[in-house]
Amino acid sequence: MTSATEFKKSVEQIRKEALQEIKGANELGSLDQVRIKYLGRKGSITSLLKGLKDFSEKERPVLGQLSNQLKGNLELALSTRMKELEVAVGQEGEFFDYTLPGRGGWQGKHHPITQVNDRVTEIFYGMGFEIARGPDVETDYYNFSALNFPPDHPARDMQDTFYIKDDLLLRTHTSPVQVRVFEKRKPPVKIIAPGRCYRNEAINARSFCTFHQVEGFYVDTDVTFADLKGVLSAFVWELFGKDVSLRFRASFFPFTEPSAEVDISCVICGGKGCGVCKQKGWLEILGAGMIDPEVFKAVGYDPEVYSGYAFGLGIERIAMLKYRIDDIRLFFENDLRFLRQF
Amino acid sequence: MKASVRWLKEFVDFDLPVEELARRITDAGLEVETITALGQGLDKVVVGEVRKVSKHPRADKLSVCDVGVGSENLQIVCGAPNVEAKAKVPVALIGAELPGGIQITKSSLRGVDSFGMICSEKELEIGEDEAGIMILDSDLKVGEPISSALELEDYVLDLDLTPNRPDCLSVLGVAREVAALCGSQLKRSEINLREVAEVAQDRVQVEIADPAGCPRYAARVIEGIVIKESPFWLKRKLYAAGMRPINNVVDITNLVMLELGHPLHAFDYRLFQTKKVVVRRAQEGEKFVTLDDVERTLNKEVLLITDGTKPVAIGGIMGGLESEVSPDTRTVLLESAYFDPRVIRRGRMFLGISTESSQRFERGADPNGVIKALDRAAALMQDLAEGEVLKGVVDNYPAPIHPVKVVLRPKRVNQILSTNLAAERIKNILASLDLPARENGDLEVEVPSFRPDLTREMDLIEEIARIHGYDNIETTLRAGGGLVTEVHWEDQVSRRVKEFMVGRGFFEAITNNLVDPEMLEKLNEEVGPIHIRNPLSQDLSVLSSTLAHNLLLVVARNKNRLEKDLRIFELGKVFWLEGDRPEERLHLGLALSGTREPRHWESEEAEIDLFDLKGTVAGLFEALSLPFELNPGDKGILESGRCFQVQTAGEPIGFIGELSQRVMDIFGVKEKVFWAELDFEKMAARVPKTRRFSSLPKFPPADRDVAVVVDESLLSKAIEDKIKEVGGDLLESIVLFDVYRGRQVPAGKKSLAYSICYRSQEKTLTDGEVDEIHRKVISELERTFGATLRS
Repeated sequence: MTSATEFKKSVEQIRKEALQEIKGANELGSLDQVRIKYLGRKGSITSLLKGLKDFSEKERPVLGQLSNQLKGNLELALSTRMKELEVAVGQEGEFFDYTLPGRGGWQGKHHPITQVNDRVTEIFYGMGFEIARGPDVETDYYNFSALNFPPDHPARDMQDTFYIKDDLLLRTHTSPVQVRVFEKRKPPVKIIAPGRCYRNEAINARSFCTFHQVEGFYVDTDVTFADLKGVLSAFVWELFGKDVSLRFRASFFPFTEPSAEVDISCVICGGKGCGVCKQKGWLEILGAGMIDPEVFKAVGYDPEVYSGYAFGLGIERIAMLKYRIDDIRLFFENDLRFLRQF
Repeated sequence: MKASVRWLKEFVDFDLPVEELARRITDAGLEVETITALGQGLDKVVVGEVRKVSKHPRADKLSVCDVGVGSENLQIVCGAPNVEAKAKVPVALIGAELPGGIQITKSSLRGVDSFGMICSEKELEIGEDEAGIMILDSDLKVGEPISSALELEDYVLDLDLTPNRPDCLSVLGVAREVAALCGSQLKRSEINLREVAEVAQDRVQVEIADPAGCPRYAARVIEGIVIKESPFWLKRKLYAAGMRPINNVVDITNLVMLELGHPLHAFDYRLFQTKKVVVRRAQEGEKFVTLDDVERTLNKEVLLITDGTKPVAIGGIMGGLESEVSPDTRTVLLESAYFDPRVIRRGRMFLGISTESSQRFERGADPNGVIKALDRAAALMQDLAEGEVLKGVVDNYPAPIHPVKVVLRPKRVNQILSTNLAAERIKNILASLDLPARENGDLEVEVPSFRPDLTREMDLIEEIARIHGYDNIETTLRAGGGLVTEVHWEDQVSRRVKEFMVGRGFFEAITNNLVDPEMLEKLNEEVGPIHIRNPLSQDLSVLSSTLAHNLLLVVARNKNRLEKDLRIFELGKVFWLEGDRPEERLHLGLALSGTREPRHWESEEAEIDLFDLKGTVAGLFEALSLPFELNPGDKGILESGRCFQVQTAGEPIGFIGELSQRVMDIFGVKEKVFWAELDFEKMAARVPKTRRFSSLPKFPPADRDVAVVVDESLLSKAIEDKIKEVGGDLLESIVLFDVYRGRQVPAGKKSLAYSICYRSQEKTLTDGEVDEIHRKVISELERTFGATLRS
């Protein structure tokens, strides 16, 4: 009587030999010989199965399952090889190697930033947001003054700005699009504005001098903070999955009041704490709030009649989380070894 | 702002694990970046008393001490110069592991056994003094663990504060938030000031020449000061806040700033021989040496504190080197002022410095907190520096700033937040933040001057939301807004372009459009680029006016990494100046290099040439239903004769061609690169938004082939145009299927073979009719171009 260990060993031995022989069979006749050798009435697998009765009741089911798996594997390999040999016979005896590489041109890929940006805009589009765009070179008025950043106010330090002239700069956020839209339209307006922004910050793994944002805003007669929580929750669940939780924290932006930072439970560790979330369990992903009455006043909306929310999120930040990219500079280097991965 | 939990507890009672405290204040807008535990690893360090000190028999610099640590007396060898009998000292017992990693074991120093170690501040990592052992207060109990005796165990919350909350740049301000969030009461402390009979007013007068920049300036005079080291409890608080102790007087001003949020400045009174403080703006170009020993050139934005003749400090930003408190200072002039936030900001930006003081004034200090801070510091100088506080405050406050009154409608709160809070609850929340409200139909809220951020109803609504908790506001999912949404046209077209390019095997690149102006110049860009006034670096100092710069860098970089085959595109913005006005426009750039097709087991490898690029661009135009034409062109970076202008319906769209050798050398690229840059916005504007169906042909087509031998210099397009012209309505399509030179074709000639498809919309063409029109085509080619038929 053999031991269970020996039995398992012989199962593996048979598997190895049989697969080798199946691959090596070059015509249907010899393939059938292989079949008989292993799966025939006196074949090795059949005798293997017969030997099962010598084992204890505890061992038998495990070993039985092993043998049956082996049997299944070999049957599949046999039928695949049979089809391959039949294909060859069909082409008048000339062997047709269907595993040779096919013809066709090069395949390109969308940049990961585009992929994430498209996904984000799609989600909001599905929730009834239109798309608007604005210039990268902005005036101080649209980027700051109309958004309630008074001149000589420390809030301006929150955004290190590249200046072209005193009143001309590279936009530090996509929020100027709010003002541009409000000037042209009356509520209701429900819009997202994707685009590129610039910050005069040292370049390192976590920050780059240019990046992409998506701004979103909705103004109507009765928009509430609860609606803001709702739309952002729906967005996060759609993008990261339903099991992600959100946290709204009080914060400050000159153009929203009340303002919030929105965190999601860490998508890497599930909130237990890891290197990505700096052991906090939370990841900051966007800033939001109710549009400040000063912004409405600047564009001639009556803040007593209208209320609205606005939010802004960074595409690079989301892409880094989604794909677990640890260096923002990779996005702008366009190394093909990077781009091919997405 | 670093807030010590132990210090907070002096102002408010709460009983929360530090993580929970951090979570609550973070949620309320005071983001806790990190929590640092202090006084850890001092388990086996106790208060000891040196009973006897004797010389080490074999080492001059060592002493052998008999130290009581409560239960027993230990013999400890000590090398510090300041060890003496009766001193209370921290003793690390055998088995202790100090924060720096030192393990205390029984040891023998030059033959004398030592059973522990007497420690310096530095060794315990509770201070910086390492010159000698730490001498403790004599009233400490021998044997008590050092961490409880010195109240070392603490947590420090490092707060990342938003610029709207100057009040929280103080322990008091943070404590007020904690009180509101924990339902606790803020503790008010008394200031025990004992003024002497002499009057401060007799010693100094305050004159404000710029009341807009300095609405209030108050001073006290304190005599009999003894400058010395601060007591340990004070130093401990400064350390916890990340500041270094200097001497008792300076430390007191810093302590009060940290505690109450109001920056103070202590001057050596000797400097004020004029008995006068004059606050004025600096003159353009005026020079002043600040206490960091830097001579600074000032301008009119900068406020100066002077004695009427010479400046002694830059108001609200930094003191002067000469007026600094020194070891022999006996009389202190203590300043507590309120400076205008904008003036401080402009001044410190001009000077390029930011200090603890300027940070607070710039965000907004409390004009009505001036006296409290002054009195608190004066009282501490009286207690810790033997100071005698002269009677009265010299206070110049010409136009007092009063608390703001803001009306808050509970209904509006609930409208904006979608809550259902009763007026009473709202009032309670306000009260917890020290914002008294009177019910008067709506709530009339009196906002104290320490909250300059609260001036409007919406500001108060945010306060309600913060303290009520954002998590306690419901989350509603609802449809809203317009149902008819306009689709952004350029976005639609750009998606089509990107899909096309990716399908054609191109990788999309996204590059930084801040570039090096020198490189741009080398690319012969004729338009003026837009310069950044404050660039990160010279090589990122202009906005690119072409996509070529960046995409060719991408080509070069990838080639360096041994990627031979490159197909790259970018749909990105380019920028230029149109006179004085900045312009920006989306361009499509394409770069191609390497082999035409992926290497394959059956086909030959061929290098890419210009027709690969032309085919791609023509295909893109076809996909967008745009007519495509090519004409000879001229573009700096492209090889002359291999540079062509792309047009659609006569409108120039951009260039395609082969990169010139000069430009390839600039980028260090060896293999040929083909380049196209197209004006995407012009293209998008011409893409038809609608299409109109033409009914399908009812009659069959008929094909005829013809091969003509023509002059080498004749463009194939001329032949095609002629065929179209002659074929008229009957011509459906032309395919050029062969171009041949060589045997049977004379030198200087070429043979072009066309397959022409004829079809009528009205009837089935007979063979005779097809032959007739085909003959006509051939004879016109012969007549016009001198073409001969090749059989």
